[in-house]
Amino acid sequence: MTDAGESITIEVALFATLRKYHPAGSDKGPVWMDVPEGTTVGGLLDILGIPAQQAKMAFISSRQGEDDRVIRDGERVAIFPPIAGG
Amino acid sequence: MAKILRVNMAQRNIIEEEVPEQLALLGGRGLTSTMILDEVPPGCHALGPNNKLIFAPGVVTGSAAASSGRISVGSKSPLTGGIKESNAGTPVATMLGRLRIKAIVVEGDPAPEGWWLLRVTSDSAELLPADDLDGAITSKVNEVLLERYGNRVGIVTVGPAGEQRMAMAGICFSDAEGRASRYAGRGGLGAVMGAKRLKAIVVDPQGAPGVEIKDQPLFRKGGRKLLDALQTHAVTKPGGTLNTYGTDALVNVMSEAGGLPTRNFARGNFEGANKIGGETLAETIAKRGGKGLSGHACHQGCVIKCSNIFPMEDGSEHVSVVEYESAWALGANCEIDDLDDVAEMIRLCNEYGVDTIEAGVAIGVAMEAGVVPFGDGKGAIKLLNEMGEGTPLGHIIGNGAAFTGRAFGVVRVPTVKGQAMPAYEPRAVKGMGITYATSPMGADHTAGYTVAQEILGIGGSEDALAVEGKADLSRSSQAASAFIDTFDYCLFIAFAILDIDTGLEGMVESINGVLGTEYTTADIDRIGMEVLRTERRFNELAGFTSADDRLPEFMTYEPLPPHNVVAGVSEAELDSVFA
Ligand code: SF4
Repeated sequence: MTDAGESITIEVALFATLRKYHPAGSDKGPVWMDVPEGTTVGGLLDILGIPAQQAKMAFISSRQGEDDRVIRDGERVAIFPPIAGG
Repeated sequence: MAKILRVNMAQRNIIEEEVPEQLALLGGRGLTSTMILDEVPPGCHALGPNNKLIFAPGVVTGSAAASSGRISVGSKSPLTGGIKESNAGTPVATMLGRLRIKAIVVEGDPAPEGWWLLRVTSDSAELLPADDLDGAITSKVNEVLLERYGNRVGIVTVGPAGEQRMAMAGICFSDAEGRASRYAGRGGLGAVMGAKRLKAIVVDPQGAPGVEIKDQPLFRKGGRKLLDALQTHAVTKPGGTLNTYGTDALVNVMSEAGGLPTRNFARGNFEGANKIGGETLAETIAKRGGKGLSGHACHQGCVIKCSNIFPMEDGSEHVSVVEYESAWALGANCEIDDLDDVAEMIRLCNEYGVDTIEAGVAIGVAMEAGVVPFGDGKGAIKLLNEMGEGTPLGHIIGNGAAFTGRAFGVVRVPTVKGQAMPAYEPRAVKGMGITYATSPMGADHTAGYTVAQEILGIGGSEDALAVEGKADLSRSSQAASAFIDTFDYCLFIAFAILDIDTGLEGMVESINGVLGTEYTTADIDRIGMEVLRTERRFNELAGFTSADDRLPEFMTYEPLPPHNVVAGVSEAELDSVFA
């Protein structure tokens, strides 16, 4: 996290059981939101109130990202609970 | 005593055989592949007199082992020209297991006229005329046979596509309620059944003695450990993601990961993903109510219950089951984002009796050729109906993606060994590409599901775009799949046992309980590799070489958006998998 008050705008998409954590009024589709510059994937989970163990996968602009991945302005972040199939 | 039923379609007689010792510990895929190598000349025509079609439930199938109601079907594939095993989850599997029928071998050269029905009970097996079912769609076959033999029987059938020997024809098994919906879909096995002029099999489980279990306490102990794992893991537990959303939840995952093949493998993400994904599917089922159901079990005895019944707008039943592979193939791959159109296409595939994957990819190739435009759901539905009607265009598409590509001069044809790729882009998920290229089955995701580690973070975590280490990951995944397919647990138990060691032990203990063996978890790889070697031996004798263990050329020079990468796996790496 940075100490400055700069913020960036990112697109957040939550899926399956995590949909209920979408910021108010956007329980379905992806939503654009402002977060402090330097926010990581883990930090975003905190902002959204998603318990860390419920979030299994994150893709930032199609790339897999760990919790410490810093999100950049304009990026799309997709977060999923554990999912599998065939 | 377990037995093998040999059904000779030339003489129309059935011989009951004892199980030879070298097959005693095998079931499912291990059994079908061993028998195919032993008994089928690798160079034979897949639709000719010398090919055989073998049905085999798994070693634990029919017992109380969780999610183990699977049946393997083996043959030489008319689609790939190599060995084939395809399996399905169905009560037919548990019935055969409980009847102690280790395999049904359909062989011989039938008379060119007439259709036959095989009826199997606890003390008899007979071939009966089935000309009244000539041309019948699968739901009609099930309706007639359930009416005739009572609704406790299990049914196996081919639709019009199998009768017409189309290379994408699958074999249809009844589900827990007798619906014609569970498929051993891949590799054209329905065409082999059609060529044998066997329209259907009816299995009556009354009086079945049940699976013989050598060590009950061990079997029960193992069963509990596996059950605990399945009921604990977030993916497989009741109310978990498979149960709630079905496999279709993967549409959004793979699209966000840039690995969802879209528009005939032209890109890796689909704008309409969410409209056909598991979240929208579950929501639609809940909203429409009526006959709709999420969390359906394909057979009694499954604790995961990933299947579903998709309703029409008025709540009446439309189709079972909208699963990931089908929704992707007939949806994203054809740029169709209307869930009702996709459901209708799945229904038509079920009724005509074809593999939804091969159908969706063949239609995608036809769209590439301009036969109908991408995104045209109604046009795609029309193509499926041409298959059912057996028009010349229907025959072209019905013979699969590779055949369709040749017919229309298309270069971008996503197949390996002539079999269409499933719903994971090999350029974006490198290990999966290695599995597609090197599996003896042709392009097949279930053959070695490296997506678990590469995308889903199950059983480890790997960078999907990295090549290093993936040959080994693919090899060990292929061995594990061959093992699970031999005992015929549903492959989806893997998600729990990859993460929970006691579940893995429980599976092996259950197997030891049934067989009286002393396998350990270390034997999984060894037994799986033996099965793979058997299969690769058959292919080698059928003329396959390392040149067949390759991805299609276009993937080596056409970068895939959004990652903009090519396949990037060297020939040496591919050849190292089974070196
Ligand atoms: S998990 Fe799904 S496919 Fe597997 S046995 Fe259960 S319902 Fe059938």
